[in-house]
Amino acid sequence: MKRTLRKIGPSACCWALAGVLALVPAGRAQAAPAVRPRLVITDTAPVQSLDPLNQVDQVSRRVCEQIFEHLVEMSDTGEIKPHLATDWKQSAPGVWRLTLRRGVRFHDGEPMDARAVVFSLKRLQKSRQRDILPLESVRALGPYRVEIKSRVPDLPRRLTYTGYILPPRKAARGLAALRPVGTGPYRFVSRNFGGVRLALNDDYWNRGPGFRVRDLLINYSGDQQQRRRWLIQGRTQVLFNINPHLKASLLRAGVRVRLYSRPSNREYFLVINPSPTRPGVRRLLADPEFRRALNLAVDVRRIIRVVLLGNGIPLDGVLNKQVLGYVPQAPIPFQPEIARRLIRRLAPRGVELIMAVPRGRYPRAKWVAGATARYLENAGLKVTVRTVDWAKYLRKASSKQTADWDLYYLGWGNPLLEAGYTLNPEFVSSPLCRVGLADLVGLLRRAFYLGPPERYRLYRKIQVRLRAAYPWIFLYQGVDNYAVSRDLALTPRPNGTFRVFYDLAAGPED
Amino acid sequence: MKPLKLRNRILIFFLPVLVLPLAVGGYLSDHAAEEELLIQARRQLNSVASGAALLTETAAHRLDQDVNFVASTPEMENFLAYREFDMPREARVTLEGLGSFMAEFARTAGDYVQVRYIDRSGRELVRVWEGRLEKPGGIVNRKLWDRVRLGAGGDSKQGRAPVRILGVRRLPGSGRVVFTAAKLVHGAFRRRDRPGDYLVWGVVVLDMDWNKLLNFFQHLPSAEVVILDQDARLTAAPDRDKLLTRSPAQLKLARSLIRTPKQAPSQPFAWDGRSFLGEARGLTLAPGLDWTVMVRADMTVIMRPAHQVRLVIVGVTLACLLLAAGGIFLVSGVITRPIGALARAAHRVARGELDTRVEIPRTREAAMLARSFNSMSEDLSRYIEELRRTTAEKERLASEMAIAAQLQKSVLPRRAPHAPGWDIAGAALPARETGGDFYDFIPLPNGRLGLVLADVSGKGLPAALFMLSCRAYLRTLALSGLGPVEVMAGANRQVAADSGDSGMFVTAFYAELDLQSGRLRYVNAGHNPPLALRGGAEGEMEELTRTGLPLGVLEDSEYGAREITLHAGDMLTMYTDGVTEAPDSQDREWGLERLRQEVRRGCRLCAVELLKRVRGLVQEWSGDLPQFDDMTLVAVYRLQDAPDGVDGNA
Repeated sequence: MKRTLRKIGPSACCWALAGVLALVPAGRAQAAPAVRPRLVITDTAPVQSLDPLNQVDQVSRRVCEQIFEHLVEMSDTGEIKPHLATDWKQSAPGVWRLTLRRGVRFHDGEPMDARAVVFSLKRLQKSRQRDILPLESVRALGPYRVEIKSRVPDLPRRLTYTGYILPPRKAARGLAALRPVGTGPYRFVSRNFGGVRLALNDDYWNRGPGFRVRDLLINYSGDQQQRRRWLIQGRTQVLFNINPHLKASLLRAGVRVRLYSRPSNREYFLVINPSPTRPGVRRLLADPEFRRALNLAVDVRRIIRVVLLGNGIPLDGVLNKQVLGYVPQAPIPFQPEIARRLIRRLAPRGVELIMAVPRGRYPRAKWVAGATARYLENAGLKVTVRTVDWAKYLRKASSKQTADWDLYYLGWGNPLLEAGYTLNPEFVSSPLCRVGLADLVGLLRRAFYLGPPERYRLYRKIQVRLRAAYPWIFLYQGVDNYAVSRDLALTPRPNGTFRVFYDLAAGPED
Repeated sequence: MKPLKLRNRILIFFLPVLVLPLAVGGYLSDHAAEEELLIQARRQLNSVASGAALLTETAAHRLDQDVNFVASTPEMENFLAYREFDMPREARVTLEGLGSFMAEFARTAGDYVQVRYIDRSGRELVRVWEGRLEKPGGIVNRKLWDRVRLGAGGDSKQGRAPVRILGVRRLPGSGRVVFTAAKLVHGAFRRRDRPGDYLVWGVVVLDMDWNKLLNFFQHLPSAEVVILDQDARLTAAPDRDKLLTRSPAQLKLARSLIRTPKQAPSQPFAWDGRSFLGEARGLTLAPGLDWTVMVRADMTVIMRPAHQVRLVIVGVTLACLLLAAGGIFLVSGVITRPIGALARAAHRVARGELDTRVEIPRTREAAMLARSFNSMSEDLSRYIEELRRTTAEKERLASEMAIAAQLQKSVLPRRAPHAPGWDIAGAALPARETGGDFYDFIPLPNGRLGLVLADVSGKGLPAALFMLSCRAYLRTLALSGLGPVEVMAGANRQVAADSGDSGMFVTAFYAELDLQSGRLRYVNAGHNPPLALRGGAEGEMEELTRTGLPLGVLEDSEYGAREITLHAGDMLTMYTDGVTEAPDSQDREWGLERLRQEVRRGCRLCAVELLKRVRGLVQEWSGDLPQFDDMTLVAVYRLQDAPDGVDGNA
């Protein structure tokens, strides 16, 4: 026995010492971050596409935001922060040099480096998002250094919204839409009619604090009552795009949820379209005085109060208050008598207007449009409201096949929160503006590539001109409403993006 | 008329003295209490009237606020807007929400019998009855609807319709009395065909339970609240059956009671055969809705404390009177009983029962009185005995004095001596039964006549006794043949010896008159100087002054003698001080000067007449006064020179 002890003694002591030494740092090490087993997010519509370069809707984008990442991010306070790019600087006018974060890998294990960035940005130039981020060239200066040439002065801001970094290998194979692979904290698992299932990316580069969920399901329901029921029953924990009535219902019912509201970056308006097919109406709609009369006839505040239950902010121009470069202007008054007089003078025999409104895309769009139509009727016009499916509506609006619409309802987001995003060089020729303001093209183009302060001086002038031209019936800036279960806390971002990892947190104790 | 008993007198005196202040005090305090009660009642009625007006105003204000509140809820606005915006589903849902809200409001507020929303066609869309949402009742009463619609639509051009308080009414069916207000609510769009009208509008009607306020008014102590609207309808009255009936007379009365602080305070008025005191306030709940709040109180209720106090005062007064009467009776008995006993005892004493004694009562004063009476009775008995003795003694002394006076009178000359050529007279009038003056005519040998006039100091019996002895001495000495000086000296020694320590003395004039020659040798021992008038009325008057001290002053006094001669027509008048010193009522002496004048005037009279005249004048001078002193006068008048021989003594 003694011999045995003598034999194994030194080795046992060594092992014991090693064990103790191993335990000491383990005790001092940071505790492993908590991982929630499951989270369900319910959106209002099914995902259209998971191709990050081919997104047309917010719902799809919200899923992609969990999988893909940008080079820079916009914080909840609107600041531009490093993300996949740790540093950037302008080496010369129009030349940006970015340093990339090391140790970032795609979900398939491929490292994120300059090659991937060059691939992603070049691919972006071939997509529909090229207008958002017009680049002249992009090239790698090293494994983690990239040089981008672009005439836009606010390149980093634009990179917060567009320019997802994709793995060149998979994407090149055209599999991005089917099985998206990104660098984000969640990786794609499956997609079916019920939604998209994601899983926690264990190799995510950010080891710091974040909301980690093992199983993340993003589903949808267009039925507000069903959404409410799911939230109350615990079948979902996060609701996006809460209808004002659902919000009011949740508030009234005192359900144990947390509600968050934040002014949206989206503004809603009725584009005035002087259609060539109806010469009499075209003449009227081409008249700024008539367009002013249309604006004066509508009590937007009452519509917001009644139809949207207060979830809106009246617009006083083409930009909303959150947008950098916004110029405050006098509120558009509700003057039905003046409107009625103007309309009676300009259209003594009366006129019928066709108002188109998409179905199922914008909150309460049909009712907002209907209420607006009643105001216009109250001012002496005859208005016919036509409801059109969103896909068809979008197609027609995008392609400017709107000859039979005198007014059409649009909601325009500005995720960059910058004047140039809305007032881009194509603005006057886009579906946003149909009243023929060709003289503004030059100004818009100049402003788009100018840096501050000349940029915003020009945008100021443009905004005043546009307001005076009344290309729209100015309605309201939306309010984004979110509901989360009581055990969660949400920090909404001003540009409307949502990152589960960064924006959610365990809720404070009541 | 038989005099009242002392006890009755005390009662008659003290009872009014007690009753009168009590009655006056009671009346004054009663009057003051009534005035004070009126002031207090006015003050309280003022407060109650203000409170009632305030409550009514508050109710109206609350009604106004609540109608505005219900009419301006988001549900209402949304409902109207949804109707305008042609959003029927939302409108229906919102109407349900509006109904729930109205029901919740009615339950929470608690004062509303009925809350309704009526649309422009007069159809009830929401009906809340006593806090419960009920099925709407269809088309509402047309009359009410017209009132509401026409009234509420008046100012709709201003964008905000006014609340129309319709007043108090009785709900058909339930009979509940409610305070109704309505407000028109409308959307933003006007009708094209009628620009004055709105496309969507309706009316919110609130019926407040008026009975709560009435119950509160009914429980006000001692005050009745009457509220009349501008049409003289009773919206609040003590009698619920009269509610909502017209009463223009009450309205007129109530309006007359509205007064400013500078006006005179309200006075009681008669209503329904009762007397009331009232205060009123005017209320303007809304334009054209002028109400009058009258608060009144029954005067009998107001004055009840005064009546109670009055009864107490009367009762206390009567009790006090009875007590006082009893007390007075007892006390007067204590006083009068010994007096009565004393009176009876005095009566017995008066009848001669001098041994009557009264019992000593217990009260100190009465005991003192009884003791005094007993003592007086004893004294009286003793006094009467003494008096009896004294009277007997006095009678005896009087008889003795009479004897003495008779005796003294008997020693005075009965008549003057008759001497030819001489008219001599003398008279004495003592002040009492006996006197100290005396005169004497002593016939002396050799045709001489001794004339004596003396005045013993003092009066009465001692003086008379002394006079007798003095007369005897003078007469004896004169008759013994001594001259005037010796006579007086001898008499002086005798008198001085007699007077001893009595201090008595005698002024005396003694003269020897030679009737033939008229020579008069005299000694005047301190007596008043006799007056010798010579030669008639116009003649010289000589005073025969003193030649020595009065008799008895000094035992060894020396006297001188003087001599005069009386001729025809001369007259010698001797007198005592009782003549010249006789006082009148003002204590003025008759005086020597008057005597002189009378002597001059009477010199033609005979001596007797002169004496009578002087005595009469002196008595006239003294009037009714008792005679002060003995008066004695002797007049010697020489008619003619006398022949030889003198007639003897008278």
